[in-house]
Amino acid sequence: MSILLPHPSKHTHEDILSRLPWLANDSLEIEERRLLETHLEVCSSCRHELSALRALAETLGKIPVPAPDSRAAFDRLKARMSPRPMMDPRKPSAGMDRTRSKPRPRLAFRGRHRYIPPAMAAAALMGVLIAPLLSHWSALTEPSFHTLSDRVSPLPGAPGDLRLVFDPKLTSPAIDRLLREVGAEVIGEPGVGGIYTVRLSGGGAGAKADSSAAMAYLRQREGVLLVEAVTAQ
Amino acid sequence: MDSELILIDIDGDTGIPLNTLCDDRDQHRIARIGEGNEAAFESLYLELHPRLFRFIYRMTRDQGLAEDLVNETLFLVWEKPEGFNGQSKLSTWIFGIAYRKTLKAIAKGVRTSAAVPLDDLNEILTDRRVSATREVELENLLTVAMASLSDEQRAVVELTFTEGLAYREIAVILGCPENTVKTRMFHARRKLEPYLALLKPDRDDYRHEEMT
Repeated sequence: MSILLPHPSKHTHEDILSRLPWLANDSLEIEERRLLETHLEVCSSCRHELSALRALAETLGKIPVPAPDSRAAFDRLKARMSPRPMMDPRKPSAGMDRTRSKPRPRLAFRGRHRYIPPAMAAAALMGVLIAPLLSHWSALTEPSFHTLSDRVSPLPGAPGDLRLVFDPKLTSPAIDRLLREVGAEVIGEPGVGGIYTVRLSGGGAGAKADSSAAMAYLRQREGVLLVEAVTAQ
Repeated sequence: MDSELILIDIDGDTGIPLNTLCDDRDQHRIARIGEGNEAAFESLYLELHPRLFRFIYRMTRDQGLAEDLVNETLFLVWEKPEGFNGQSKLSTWIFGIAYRKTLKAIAKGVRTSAAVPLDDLNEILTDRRVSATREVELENLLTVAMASLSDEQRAVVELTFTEGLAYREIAVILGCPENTVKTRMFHARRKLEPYLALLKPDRDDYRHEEMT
């Protein structure tokens, strides 16, 4: 495909002048070069400028530059060339062939050496570092209460034990007395909600033969708000 | 052809002049490097190393730094070949990397040579003594004159006259419009004017060449 650009003859002298360095280094395309040369035929100042530019290029080329040892330099670099991302021709690359209809090699990752792109590696590292923090944070922020649907009770006790909630106005001696009446002893101090866990020992004047009888008795006593048997946890 | 127009071959998709795009050889090379082919990379390295070294050395006047920057540049090509998008020659893309790394090094103050104020250059030009070899003297003066240019101007001059690149390629390397390249060259030429006056031959070289 080709396009037509304005002829340099329609440009100003300065426009032509601005292209002379690339006429001097012989990098212009044939058509552009030909048109500049047409201008030069009639412009002596541009001809002198071109001569000066060529002399400049010639002298620049003579300025000494140390001769590098490319082989030795490559050997130094090769020592640094550790495994790097390998490409899979089966997968398209992100950068190549976005603009040309002509088929061109596609680049993508392949696994001669399992390579983890830096972004993925950073994400994995963050995960490793953050997971324990999240776990710890979760423990810290876990609610200190439990619902009745919790599978694991935070309270001590075993099947046959009782959970009791007394009226807050009930004094400790009165609670002790009630417990003695049914032959029970406290195995779990009241926590949040004032829930006592008691175990029937079978002793005491009013000792009951089983938890059902003890529950029935306690429910009739003043100051006892809740009586419940501990079930399997 | 219309005499007021010139014909430029361009890529149908991008509109980029074809002579500044990568060719099949470039595509094949970068694909092989992308597949981890060390021989392909070595071939590219040995081909470009002298040119890159010359360009960076002329920009920095520091051999050790130039050697380091060349390897940093080509190491990036080995590590990130997918960065080449095929919209320029492979060498143009690599020169662009080298140019940016060089500017960064200069910005960090790594470069050892310092720019010379233009007044100092004029003083050198006017007060110069006749040396044993005028050619050597001119080379030395030009070295000083080049140091009076900004880094961007010097890059344009070096890429044009030392590397022989087209202004479109230089625009890609510098990451600027083509007109900016021409403008930088224009200002560089003005700064070098005292030196250019010394170089201008008496005869008309252009007409001489055309006649022969």
